[in-house]
Amino acid sequence: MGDMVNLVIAYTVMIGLLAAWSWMLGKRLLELLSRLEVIEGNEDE
Amino acid sequence: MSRRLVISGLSLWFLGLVLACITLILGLVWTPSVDNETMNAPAAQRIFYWHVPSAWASMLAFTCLFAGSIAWFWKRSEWGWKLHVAAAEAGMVFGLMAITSGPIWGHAEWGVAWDWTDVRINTFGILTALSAYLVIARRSQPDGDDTRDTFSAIGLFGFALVPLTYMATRWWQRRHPGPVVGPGGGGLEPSMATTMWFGVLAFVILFVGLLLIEWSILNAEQRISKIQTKMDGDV
Repeated sequence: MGDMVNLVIAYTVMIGLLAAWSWMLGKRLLELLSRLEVIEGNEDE
Repeated sequence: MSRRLVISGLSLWFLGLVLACITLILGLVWTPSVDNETMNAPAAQRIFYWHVPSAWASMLAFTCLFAGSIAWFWKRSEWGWKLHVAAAEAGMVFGLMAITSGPIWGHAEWGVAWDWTDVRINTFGILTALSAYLVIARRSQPDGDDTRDTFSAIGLFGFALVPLTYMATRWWQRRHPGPVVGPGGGGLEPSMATTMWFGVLAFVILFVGLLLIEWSILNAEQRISKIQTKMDGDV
């Protein structure tokens, strides 16, 4: 049983790390793309 | 900024995630359980299917970090710097995955989470800490040649630990298991080997996806900074 708990904890931690990093990257990329769109729009004007 | 780069990065990242999930399912359901005589913690052994691929992906990232650092020093190459930054982030994420899952497995299998006398475990820990330092430190420093030189120097000298980490279990094996595939490898049951290689493929695709997304972010940051400088100049 304790053995299984270790397995669950390890995969939870690894999935958590991947998910957190994916979310942070995606958020940053979207923020920058929308900011770029606004700035490029202003530049054209 | 290239829209194709963004789409390619996101597609590869998503594909890598799907393949990594399939690896996890194969590792939990399809592969046979090791017996109690071979290992003390047969269930925790299944941590292997993400632990090894994430460690390999981080070594690939550390190698790219080294290549990027050389390119920056040698040619003042912009792509070299971008490769350095993107590889440091990927190395940190995959390194953290290996460095957190390893001690959990170690605790179950050996009864101790960390062995300070095992070279493989400690050099890998230092490599992960180094990439984490590069990621955090870069965000707190203004971008410029001096900053890039300092961080690239750390990337260059830190790479010395990569071959050392790779060879450590061959030269001074203490607690971390030796190689299971390749020259001198102990060998794996076919379904276990298939699942492991599938995992390696998944994490390499994840790594490339992450690298392209980071690259897109750096391109966007530079483009914004360039436009803002130009607009400030016009005012």
